[in-house]
Amino acid sequence: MFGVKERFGMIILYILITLISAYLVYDHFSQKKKMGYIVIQDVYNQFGLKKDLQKKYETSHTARKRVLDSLAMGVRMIGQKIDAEKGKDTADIRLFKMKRLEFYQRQQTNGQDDSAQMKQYDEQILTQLDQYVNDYGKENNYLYILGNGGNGSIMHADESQNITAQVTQYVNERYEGKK
Amino acid sequence: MTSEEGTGTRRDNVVPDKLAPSQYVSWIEDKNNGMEKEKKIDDIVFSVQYRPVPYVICEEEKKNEISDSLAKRRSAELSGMQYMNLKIEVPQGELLKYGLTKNAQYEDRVNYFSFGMQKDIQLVEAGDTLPCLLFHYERVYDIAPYGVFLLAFPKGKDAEGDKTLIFSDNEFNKGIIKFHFEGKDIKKLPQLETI
Repeated sequence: MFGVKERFGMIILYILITLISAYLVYDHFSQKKKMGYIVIQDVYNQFGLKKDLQKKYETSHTARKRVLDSLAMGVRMIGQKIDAEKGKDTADIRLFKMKRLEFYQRQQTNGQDDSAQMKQYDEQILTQLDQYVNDYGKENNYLYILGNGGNGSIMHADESQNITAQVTQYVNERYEGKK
Repeated sequence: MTSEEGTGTRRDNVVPDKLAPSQYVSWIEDKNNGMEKEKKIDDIVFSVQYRPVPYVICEEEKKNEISDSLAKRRSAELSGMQYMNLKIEVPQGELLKYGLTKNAQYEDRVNYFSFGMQKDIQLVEAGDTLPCLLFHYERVYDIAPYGVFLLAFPKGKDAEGDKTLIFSDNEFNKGIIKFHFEGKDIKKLPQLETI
């Protein structure tokens, strides 16, 4: 049979064991969360999708510009012909005005198409970047990943928290389907 | 550790030699074996299933015993191409109606999925870009919130090498989406057990 002192000691022991166990469980499951930042412009510029879409945009833009340049040349040639004829051929003058109008309309359409395509591609890039950076944060246990846009949004951060390189590698591996 | 021959599951890089048709299908569809790749971008899940010729035969026959002569005959007929499925899954509703704001857009999407999307899919292998030669959209209407596109590409210079399927998604505006399959996984596929 246990005496009072023995019982008191056992109670203290049970409490200690319970507290230690509770702390170990908390420590195991608390999963210390990290914070980091990325230089947004660097990640964006080095993102594979951005590079691929930039090439696609330049191909489309060049094709549109080629059509516009061809129209411009046509207008110039008719203009030179009218100058040589000293404006006597009214049919040529009508043609010149028609071609010039077509040129201006095409120039406007090209500008709209360029803007629309750039806007579409920007949305696609940001959609994928958001997803992959978010996934990086979850997989690597980050509480926050802040974006340093160079506009004063992060006034100071220790370079040791700069995870730009790691995030850039990760987003590109995800984009290429290798992760 | 040894492979679980009953389920055909690969553990610790041990690939079973031969599998019965139902086990073969399960093995190919097991994401851990590298023949299915998935990407979730924003609200939409895109996934690609690589379909080796024996897998295509199993799907066609839907039996757990396939004769050797039939397997050889169909393999010879199918061997000139490589096969994949692309699946696009939305959070809810019908894929064809997802995100649409006008009725006219529905017909445009049906046409795109049925015909136009084929040109937005390529397979890159050994530096070559292979076009999608066979394309079929399996409509499930509103039974399930996804659509499956059956794809076939010509065989390239290195049929068992690394390959990347590239899909340019302009319909849901997620951009260029790539799915990469490792040649080392394709080279180590189990064989189909026949009778």
